Amino acid sequence: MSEEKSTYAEAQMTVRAIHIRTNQVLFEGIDGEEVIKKADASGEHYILDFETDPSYNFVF
Amino acid sequence: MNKHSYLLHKNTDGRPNLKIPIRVVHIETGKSIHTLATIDTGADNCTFPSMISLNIGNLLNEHSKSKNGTRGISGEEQDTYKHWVTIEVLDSSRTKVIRSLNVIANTLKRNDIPPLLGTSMFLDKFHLSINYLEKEIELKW
Repeated sequence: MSEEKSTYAEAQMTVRAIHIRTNQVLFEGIDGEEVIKKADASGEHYILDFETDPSYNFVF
Repeated sequence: MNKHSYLLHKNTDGRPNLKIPIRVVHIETGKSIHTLATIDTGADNCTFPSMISLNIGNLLNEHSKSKNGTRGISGEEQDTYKHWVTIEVLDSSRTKVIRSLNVIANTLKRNDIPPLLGTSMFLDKFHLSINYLEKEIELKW
């Protein structure tokens, strides 16, 4: 992971690191870079999932 | 013709979401990250939050910065960084690569967007069917 950090707050997105086979949520939070850091350090085989805050209407 | 179907993903509050599993791979080093990515037929390009690109080693610097930014519905232009990456489309078990595409992906310097699979170089390589009633996404190519 690069030391470079994003400039925008991650206020409206929950990021989860999910075990790729069992679907167990390993780590989750609004700071996705921190979630990835913990998931990488765990050594588990994971896949990321992103979920928007249902309080907002997102149009991408 | 090849094809693969996915069950429509649901968020924790039950909202349907068009996500499929992919692996994003650095074109030179092979460093990769697995993620669920949202199919976005309204997006011109595949677009990632910075955490994805930084994790596989792509830098967001003047060299990778695009002359043209990205505009969404807000109309506000976002600084955009371009990198060649390989997007490996995974099957629903997330273990088998069913198709591999080299694409120029955009990265925005923000983390409040999900990975988006857009038209250019990705969705335009598939016949895409979305059946909300049967809760199924089908890719054919």
